Amino acid sequence: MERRSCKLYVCEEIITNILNRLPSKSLARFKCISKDWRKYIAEIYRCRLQWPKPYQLGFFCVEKRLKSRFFFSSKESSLVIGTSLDESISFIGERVYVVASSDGFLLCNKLKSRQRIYYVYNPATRQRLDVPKTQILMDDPYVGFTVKETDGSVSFTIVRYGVHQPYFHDLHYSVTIESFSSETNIWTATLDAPIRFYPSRDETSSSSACAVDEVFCWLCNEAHWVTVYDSVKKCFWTLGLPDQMWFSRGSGCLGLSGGELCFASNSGTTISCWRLNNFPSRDAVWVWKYNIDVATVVQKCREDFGLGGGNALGFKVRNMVFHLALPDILYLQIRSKVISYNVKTSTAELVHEFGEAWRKTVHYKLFSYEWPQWPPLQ
Amino acid sequence: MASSSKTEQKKMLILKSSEEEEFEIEESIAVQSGTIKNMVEDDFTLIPLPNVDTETLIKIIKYMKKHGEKTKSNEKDIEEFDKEFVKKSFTELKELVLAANYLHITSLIDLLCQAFADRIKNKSVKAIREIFGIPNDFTPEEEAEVYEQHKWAHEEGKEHIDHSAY
Repeated sequence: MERRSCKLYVCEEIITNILNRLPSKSLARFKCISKDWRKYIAEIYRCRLQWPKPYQLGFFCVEKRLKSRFFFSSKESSLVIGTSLDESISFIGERVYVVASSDGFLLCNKLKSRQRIYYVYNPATRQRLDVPKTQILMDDPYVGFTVKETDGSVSFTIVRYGVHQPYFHDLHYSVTIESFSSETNIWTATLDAPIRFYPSRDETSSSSACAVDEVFCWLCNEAHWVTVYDSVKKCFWTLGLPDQMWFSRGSGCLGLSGGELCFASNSGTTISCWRLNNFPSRDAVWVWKYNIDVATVVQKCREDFGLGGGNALGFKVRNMVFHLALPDILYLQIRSKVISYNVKTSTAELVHEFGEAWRKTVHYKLFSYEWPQWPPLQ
Repeated sequence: MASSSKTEQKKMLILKSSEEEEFEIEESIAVQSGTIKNMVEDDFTLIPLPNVDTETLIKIIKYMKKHGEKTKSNEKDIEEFDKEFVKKSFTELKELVLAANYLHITSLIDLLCQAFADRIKNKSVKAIREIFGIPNDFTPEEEAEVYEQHKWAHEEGKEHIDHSAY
């Protein structure tokens, strides 16, 4: 029998299988190969377009104010961006730490600048924008950062307020809040903004806000409410939390998922999740969505935790983060691992292993990083 | 294995390559191939494989035998085997992936496609055309247009763009 020639024709199915495993830079380059390959790649883009927007790529993880690192939240996400993400944020050329993220951009603080020098950085394109120095010195402020994209141009807003020197008079506290808009390129300060309750914070809770349409929200972990700042109307108000009984024993997290504000309260054994309806109106109401049993999640990943048939007592959930687009998925940081749990399918998956003693991971802060754009379709 | 009053005879199959060479293999191992499984269900014991040459068939049988004895304890061992298995020339990999596709051995198809992807990821357009034997059907103007649209992808970045076809 005649041996086949070495220029073998590999069928479309296999080519597509191979192409689907490649990052976007390789795919963009391979469009030049032939008309068929351009067609196959267009089909792959079309399928990827059906992935949820915003597309959750992964997390930047920051320990206190030290170096940042990054991990992907799924196998597919590493295919979108490949190796062109500046995971250690070193390309920015300054010693910085991440304080907030929004729409594929990071807000970073320059180390040893007394928190007065900020950068807005895009780790995928490596573009850096220097924000002018803040007017006011604040010690460990609450920060809010939101990016808006309109017709190919990007604008952003930063707000910050200090919590360590509020003063009390006339039955309310006052704080100084500073805000920056990329449209004006200046910081404006509002002195003595009244705030009804004294915002307090412990070491583990996040100082960065969730933002919905220029309205920023911070969770007061010690207390039982959400501090809301409307940067358009320039006023603070307070939003109560739904589950005060359990909350006082455990921890909570506030996050955006599918554009809506969500809250998770962790009592130690159970996590309850709620979604806020009708926000940012003041008649916003919390609606209970689901409960997660921590022991069940750990059991589903028991091999990852090195458990035999043992029980899951003592598995404290350190951090909880909502999936940016899919409300049924919650990320849990348990011991030194990050697990994603899908409530709809009751499946748990190990997303990342910090590879360190879990005591060291206690102060890690996770910032969701998203890929807002797709490569342009041809 | 649980013992029974009759010793169970392991059912054997014969696989025949395109060059008419025959290989004996346990049925329980051979049915990792969907194609072979279908033929077994139609009562075949001699399985002719006119699309697979001898050299390739030997490699595939080796793969199936290794993966047929998969247990919880030898996962690392199998991972090592898979790593070594794909260290082959592009020509050999192409023969293998076509055969695996024809035989419907999903795990092998995935292993081979991943190996291809890892090796071609940073290669240039010319290198890919050579590896896969793809003629350039763009006119020079068309090709220039596609190139311009994605110029960033052709530039050297963190990863070096490789022009070799090996």
